[in-house]
Amino acid sequence: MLKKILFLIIAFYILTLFQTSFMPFFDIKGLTINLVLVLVIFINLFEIPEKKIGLWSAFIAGFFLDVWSSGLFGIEILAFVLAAVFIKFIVKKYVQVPSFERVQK
Amino acid sequence: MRFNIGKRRIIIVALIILIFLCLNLTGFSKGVREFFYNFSSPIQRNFWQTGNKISSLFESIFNAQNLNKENYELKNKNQELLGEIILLQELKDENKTLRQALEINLEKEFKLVFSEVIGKDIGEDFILINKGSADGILEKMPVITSEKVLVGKISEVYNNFSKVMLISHKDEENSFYVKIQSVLNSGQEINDISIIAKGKGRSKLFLEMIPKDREILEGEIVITDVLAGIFPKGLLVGEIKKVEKSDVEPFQTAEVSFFFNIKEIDHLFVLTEY
Repeated sequence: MLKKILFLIIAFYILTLFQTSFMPFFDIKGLTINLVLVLVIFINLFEIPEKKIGLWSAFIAGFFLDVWSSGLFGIEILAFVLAAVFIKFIVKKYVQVPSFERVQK
Repeated sequence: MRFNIGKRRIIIVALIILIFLCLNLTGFSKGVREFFYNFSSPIQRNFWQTGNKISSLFESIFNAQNLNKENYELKNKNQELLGEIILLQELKDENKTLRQALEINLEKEFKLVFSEVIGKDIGEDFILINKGSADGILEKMPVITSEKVLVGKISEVYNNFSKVMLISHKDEENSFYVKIQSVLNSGQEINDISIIAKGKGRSKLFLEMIPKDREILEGEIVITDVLAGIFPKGLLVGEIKKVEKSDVEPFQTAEVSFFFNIKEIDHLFVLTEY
C-alpha cells in the first residue's frame, strides 16, 4: 500500500507539472484537457470500489493541483475526493466494469 | 460499533477541514506552494520550453497553406508601417526640438525587472514567473512585454516566484481604464475616448459602457489611460476585434484582441517604478 502511494505521489507530481507547463500550449478554444482529472477518473472507474487507491490518488492529485492553482488551498482536493467517492458509488451500485484485479481474483 | 465508525469518520472530516482552514488562514499554504515551486522550477522550465517548441512546430505545419496569403498581407502592412515610421520620425524630431526649446524633460524611464515565464495556472489567466520579493517585486506591480504591451499585474508574491494575473482575468478588481486611439495613416488622431476594460476570463477582454454615439472601428488601437490606476498610461493593450451594439442596450461593448500571445511569451518585465 505504502509503495503504491509513493508511486502515485511521484506520478501525479510529474503529471501536474506537465499539465501546468506543457499542456497550456495545446488548448482547443482556450480549453485544455485536464490529464490529472482523466487519470483519477480512470483509476476510480477501473478499481474495485472497496479498494482505497482511487481515493488516495484523488487526494494526491488534488493536492498537487492546489499547489499550482491560485485559489484557496484544498478546493481541488475536496473536488477530486468528492468526484472519486461519487464514481465509486455509481460503479458499486449500477455499473459492472471489468477490472484487471477482478480477473486476477 | 457502527456508531464508533461514524464518529471516527466525523472526527477525520473535522480534522481535515481544520487543517485546510489552518493552511489558508495562517498563510502556511504560501510556504507549501513556494517549497514546491522552488524545486520544480527547472522541470517546469523544461516542460514549458518543450511545449513551446512542439506547438510552434505544429502551428507552422498547419499554417503552411496560409503562408502565401499571410506573406502578401504582411508585405502590404510593412509598407504601410514604413510610411508611418517616416512620418513619426519627422514628428519625433519636431517634438525633440520643441522640448529643447522649452527645456522640459518629459521622458520617464521605467525601472524594470526581467523575468522568465515558467508555468501557466490551470485555472487560466495566471502565469508563474521566476522573480519574487527577493528581486523587489511587490503585489499589483504591472507586467509588460519587451514591446511595452500590457500583460497583467502581480497578484501573489513568493521569495523567488510571482503569480501574474493577466488583464483578461475575470476578477472584479481587474478592471482598468483605457483609451481607444483611432489613428489615420497620416498619423492624425481623430478619436480618443476613455472607457472601462474588463477581463472576462479565458483570454478575453471587453470594453464596456461605451457611449453609442462613439463610433468604434475594428482594428483600432487600445492603450492604457491616465486613469488606469495601477498601470502607467500609454501601454499597449490590444486592438478592437469586434463591436457589439444592441438597440435595447444603452451602451455598446467591444472585444479586444491582445497584442501578446500568452503561448509565445518566454520573458516579461515587471515595472517596479514608473
